[in-house]
Amino acid sequence: MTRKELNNEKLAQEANYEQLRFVTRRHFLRDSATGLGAMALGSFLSGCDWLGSKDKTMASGLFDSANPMAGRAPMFPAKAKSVIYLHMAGAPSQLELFDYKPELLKLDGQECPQSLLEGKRFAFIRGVPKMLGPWADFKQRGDSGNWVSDHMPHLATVADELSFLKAVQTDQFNHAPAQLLMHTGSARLGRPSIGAWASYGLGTENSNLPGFVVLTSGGKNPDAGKSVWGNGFLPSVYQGVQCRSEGDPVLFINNPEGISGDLRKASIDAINRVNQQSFKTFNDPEILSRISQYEMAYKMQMSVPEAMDINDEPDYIHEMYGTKPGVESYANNCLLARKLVEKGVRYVQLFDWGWDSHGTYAGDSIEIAFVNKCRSVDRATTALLLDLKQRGLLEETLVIWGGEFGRTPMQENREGKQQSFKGRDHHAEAFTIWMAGGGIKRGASYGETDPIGYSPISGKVSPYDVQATILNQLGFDHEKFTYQFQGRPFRLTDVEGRVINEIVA
Amino acid sequence: MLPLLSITEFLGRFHPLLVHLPIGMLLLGIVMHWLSTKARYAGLRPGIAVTLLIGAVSAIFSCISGWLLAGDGEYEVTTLDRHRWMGIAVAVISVVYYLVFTNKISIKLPPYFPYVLSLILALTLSFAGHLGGTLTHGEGYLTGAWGERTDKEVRKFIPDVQQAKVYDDIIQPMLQNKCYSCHGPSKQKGKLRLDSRENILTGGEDGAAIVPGKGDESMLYKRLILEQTDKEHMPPKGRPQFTNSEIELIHWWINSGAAFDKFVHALPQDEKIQPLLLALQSSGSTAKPDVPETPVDAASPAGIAKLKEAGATVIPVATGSNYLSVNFISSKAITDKETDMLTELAAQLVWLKVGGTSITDNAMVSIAKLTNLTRLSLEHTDITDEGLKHLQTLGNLLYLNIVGTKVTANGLSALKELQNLQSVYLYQSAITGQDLEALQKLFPSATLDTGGYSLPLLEGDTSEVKPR
Repeated sequence: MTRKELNNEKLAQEANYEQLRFVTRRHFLRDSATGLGAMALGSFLSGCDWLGSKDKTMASGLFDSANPMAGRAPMFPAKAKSVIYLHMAGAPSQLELFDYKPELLKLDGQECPQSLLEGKRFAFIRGVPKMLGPWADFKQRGDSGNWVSDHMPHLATVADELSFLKAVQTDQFNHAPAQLLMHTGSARLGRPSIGAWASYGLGTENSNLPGFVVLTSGGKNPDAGKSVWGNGFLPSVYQGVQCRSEGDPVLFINNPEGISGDLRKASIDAINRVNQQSFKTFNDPEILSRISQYEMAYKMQMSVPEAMDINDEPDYIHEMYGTKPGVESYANNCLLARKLVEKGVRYVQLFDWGWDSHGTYAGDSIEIAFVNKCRSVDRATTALLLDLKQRGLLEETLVIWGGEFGRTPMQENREGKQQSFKGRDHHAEAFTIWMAGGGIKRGASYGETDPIGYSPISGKVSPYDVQATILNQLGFDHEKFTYQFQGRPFRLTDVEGRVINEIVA
Repeated sequence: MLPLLSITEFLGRFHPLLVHLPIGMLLLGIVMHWLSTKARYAGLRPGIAVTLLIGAVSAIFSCISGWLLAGDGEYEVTTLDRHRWMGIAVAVISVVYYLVFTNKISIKLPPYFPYVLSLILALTLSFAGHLGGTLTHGEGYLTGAWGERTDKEVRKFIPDVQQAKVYDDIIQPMLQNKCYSCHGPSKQKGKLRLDSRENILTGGEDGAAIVPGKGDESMLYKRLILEQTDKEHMPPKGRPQFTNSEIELIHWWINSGAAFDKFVHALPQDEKIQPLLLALQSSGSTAKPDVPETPVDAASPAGIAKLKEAGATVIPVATGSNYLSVNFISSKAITDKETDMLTELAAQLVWLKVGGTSITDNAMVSIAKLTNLTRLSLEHTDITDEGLKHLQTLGNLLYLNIVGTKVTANGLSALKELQNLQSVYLYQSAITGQDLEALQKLFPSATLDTGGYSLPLLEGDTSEVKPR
């Protein structure tokens, strides 16, 4: 027996003794009572078919606690093998980018009619605001004739690849709940995010990388915090793994000084044996999640630095994306997203902060800050689409771009005062997002808002519809993809959601 | 708002409720009658008369309410007539049956007569009930459960919407899906048929269905845009509705002259209609599914286990499907030896990714045996024209990725028999943009992508707007 094995043995034995200390007379009495009761109940119910129904196996049967990240099949053959969700946190203005409203320009500076304000609540607008015409020049692009403004000149060249949803409506007008709703299907905390559902359903194709990776830029986490990529009630192994494009890709990924790879492996093995034993005692699946997370972490020490290194990309790729290795930027994250998808990661979630264009000062104004934000993402987003396309990946990767809500057709008047910069308030009623690749139609546009872009007049869709569509492209029926929790099956879209077949190819 | 009903219409609407009473009561009476011949059930005898009486009286009321309902609803006339007379027959027979059973008829009848009568009644009752069901649920409702569904949505495959026939490919399928069931060959509610040019132009009781060139004045359009609660709204509430874009397309079609034989490109298209038209276009991938529709036997578990051991990820394409997808994303070290193992799964394997691995041309011999493959990724491997030519056997291939290989235009030309190919990715291979024109002729229906996209450097890419 080597010294290492001997140590492991000792540790395991120690853990065993430690656990035995927990078993008291009280446990014995409780376990015998409930144990016998449960046995009786079990034998009584085994005669009933309804307990062994199909739903049960679907609900929790997906979770193989010994190997939670094993690749799994979706419900039906998927059009999209991976998803890249580009979330512009803060909510970009649809009226300056995709939703062209010449009527609104004519009304610029006029007072907003009462009919649009009655019974409505805004985050900051008070009293009677003035209308604000679009601060952008629009053109129809490509064969599809989709409208894209001059703020995104690169993206305009690939308008035929995109499918626009122009009448998305949410019911949340503050960032945190709106982001939660967009990504977890609930404006309150506690639900799993889309990426967590995806990795729960599909596992990962690459056993050395997590199935769900999160990349942030813009110097700030989203308002809703890490819950927007949380696992909710799903086993915690399915939560998003946040990686950084600056410094170590994952904090503390390198071994501390004086600890070699072998020693690290030996200690993880020992810890896992102890954990195995506590699993045998407590039967808590979270312990198995912990074990596989340790193993994943060890593998990631090798694979993540490689996957997250963009230095090995050739110059023309850097030029295309506008990337600079070593800094934290949206462009770097786009390039990383492509690399991760190439390596089999199922769900890559990008957050880019800084789109909250209220117009209270130059740094959040439509005419300055917003234009600069557009510039900072335009090239990289377009490069990502083209790069995926030329590698044959776009047709199996669903790309989504959008914010958590839209912006008002009115100029913001915080505290009823006139502002010296152009700015728009949060607007839940109508906004635009686009999707591309992954079995989505090319060059389509669905939904329409009224002539001033205030509310949808046709083709209204909700965040649930978007989520249902994402799951559909990944091969899941959002109404049947459930997880048993607190005595009932839960699903991402709760009781809502419709697959937006109008944009599905 | 619900339309106001006259008292007769109101009473008529009780028919669907009332009819179930005679069905239940009369059948119960008949069963009790037959059972009571056994000594064991003789105790049932006193209850038979009252059961039959309730059945007979409720049958009469059902007939009355049915008669009132028939005047109000628009039902298919022949079935309605048969249902009407069958219903009345049930009422008459049940009254006679009751009278005979209770000996209220003084004519001397043979003792088996009530039993014969009960059988006739049971038959008439079933047939009347079935006709009633057909009236409310439509033809073939009962047999639909095991027969082929006839209400499957028709959808034309439109590779290029501008080259599509506006009526045949766009308008007619919509009408077929949403209108033909009541305004087609089997039923003509309101005397209207919408299943041909002549029928549409002739129209029904309310006149022509369309006024070419005048969408807003056309009945077909006007009925579609009424509030759903409006009695005149079509399709009726509860039936599959037209989507907004479908309504827009019909409006556009009528406004542009309601042509029945023109191509889309010959019609004026404004910016509003263009995206709607484009949305109709089927993308390439829907032409042929990337998983075969015919089921296949399960692959040998040993074969799968062997592959997994070699580092492959083997996943069924869907839960319950035996078709498999295989990739080597987790272990790039595989060589030609491991690809030999794939042939064991030849029947099941449809998607294969061996990109970035150490395979060479030799592996193509084994891959050529995987004739069910629809998607094949060979990017960044050492394969050349020599290996690629083996793949001529992969007639089902839809997707081929040879990015970053040494394959030349000659090599790809060798696969010219593979006409199902929809997308071929050639970035960083030895095939360049100059070869494309010739290759496109060999693969007319495929998208060939040589990539190498670049973006011009714009001033905005490197500069920021500064506050004034």
